[in-house]
Amino acid sequence: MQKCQEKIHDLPTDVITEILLRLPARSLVQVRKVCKLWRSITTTSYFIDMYSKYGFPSRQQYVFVSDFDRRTISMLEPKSWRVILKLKKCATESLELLGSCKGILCLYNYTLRCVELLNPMTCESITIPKPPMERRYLFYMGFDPSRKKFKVICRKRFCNPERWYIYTVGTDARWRHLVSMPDTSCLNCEGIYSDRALHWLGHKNGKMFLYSFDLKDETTSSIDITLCRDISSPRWPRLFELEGSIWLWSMYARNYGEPCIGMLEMNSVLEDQWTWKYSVRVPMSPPPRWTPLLIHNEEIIFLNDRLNLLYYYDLKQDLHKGFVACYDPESGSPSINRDSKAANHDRKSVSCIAFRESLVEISKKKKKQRELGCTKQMIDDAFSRPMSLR
Amino acid sequence: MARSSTENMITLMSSDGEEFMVTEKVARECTTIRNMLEDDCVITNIPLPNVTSDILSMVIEYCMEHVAAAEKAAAETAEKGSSSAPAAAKANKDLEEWDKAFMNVDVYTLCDLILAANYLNVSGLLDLTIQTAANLIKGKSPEQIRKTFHIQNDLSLEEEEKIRSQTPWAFEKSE
Repeated sequence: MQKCQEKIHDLPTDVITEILLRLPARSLVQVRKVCKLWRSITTTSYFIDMYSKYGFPSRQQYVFVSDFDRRTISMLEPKSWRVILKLKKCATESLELLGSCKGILCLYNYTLRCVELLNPMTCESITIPKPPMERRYLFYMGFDPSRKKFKVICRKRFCNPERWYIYTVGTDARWRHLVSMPDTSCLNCEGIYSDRALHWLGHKNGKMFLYSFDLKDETTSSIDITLCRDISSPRWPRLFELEGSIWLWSMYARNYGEPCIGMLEMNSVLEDQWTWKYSVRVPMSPPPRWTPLLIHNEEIIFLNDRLNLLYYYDLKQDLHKGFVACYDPESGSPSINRDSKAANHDRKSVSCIAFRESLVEISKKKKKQRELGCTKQMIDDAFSRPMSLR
Repeated sequence: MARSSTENMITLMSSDGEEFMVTEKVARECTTIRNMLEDDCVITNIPLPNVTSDILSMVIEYCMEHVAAAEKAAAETAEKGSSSAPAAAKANKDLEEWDKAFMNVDVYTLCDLILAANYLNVSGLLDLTIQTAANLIKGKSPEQIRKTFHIQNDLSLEEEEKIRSQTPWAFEKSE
């Protein structure tokens, strides 16, 4: 009887690992509280890396929306637009979503005037010291894979030259001034993180450049993108990240002056090759503040941050429809109206980002395996067998 | 379904000594057996000391069903010259339904099936059983998971306290 008591523990660790890799991060947080073995499997950096690469999140994307009052942040499932998770810091703190990377949210706390990082799955959070200047700054977050550290970059605008600061989470005591940053006139406030680097657009001598700041070496490189075909004179160019690649869009007029967004994907930063992927029609009236959030089921989902409008575009049928994701405070669920006429003209800004869940730790602590009741030998044995992953 | 008489039959022997006669095609669904057959093509009797007779019969049942489905699809394609999409979709759906019914087993049997599928390397069955086990864990509290899989709670109170995150964040789950 004792033998069949814990039958599941007879399974080889690689099989248990494969079972656990198929769970949403929310379930894995529960799994960690089941027993020592499962806890030690799911807390190793090996498992956390595997989970980011091959686990459940490699298939599932979510959207995080900060509510109009900036008090609550909700995680939505983009198929049903159902609220999966709601979180808030405390009743008095006002928060804005700045971005996400590797399952970590970067938030600005207006009440405390500082940046916070949060893994909404494991609830691990960290507050970053106040930046060295008081106002007019922008924050970006990225990951340095060689040192496995998150880095937050602070950029002071409206000053000549711009000032840049960097903070390495878990290493730096304070913000470090980045001295050798290029002197450019910044095209817009956007900076995107993709593949170890922060990218942004800038003007210099009448030309448009794509600047890339490598988070590992902390050096900047630039390419002249006016030399590329298709984008020689972009109107309202914007840079964005979709599915890990760098994209550029520009407005152009299609039939009878109907405004369109041309979306180009960059093949690689080294080759400087862009591919024209989609032409998307957008409604004329709102100013061009469309940010593509994610591609889901042959639909591109855009956020219009002026109108607080989530907008989806059907790639198969070349159809476009807008819908509002606003929150009914009573039911706590988003009221979804897939009709563009119902656009909400509440001008309070809402921020919205695409998100993939992970178990990534923001600040790695040296884990004492003995604390978990498992020796290093047990962990090594558990992972000595190669994994078979489909 | 007519089987050609020339088809090789293979005897699989379970750990408790029961013998199962299967066609070579069915046996080849198990990668472990396929490798044995490819190494030594005259082999006809394979002992499987890690698999009991009741589990082996289930594995064979799974393999037979999947071989039959694949044969049926191939025959239809050959007959019409091209496979019709709705018919293929229906066949797939039927097989999925069959898999779902097949997975209606208790946790002990499921664990044994996972072990057998892992040992015999039946990729389809391994995938199915692993997904079934994952579905049993999904959305459950630690206590419910322990109850489902009959796991002893070996975490001390102190450890449990440590796990409880001391986050300043308030969460409200809608699921």
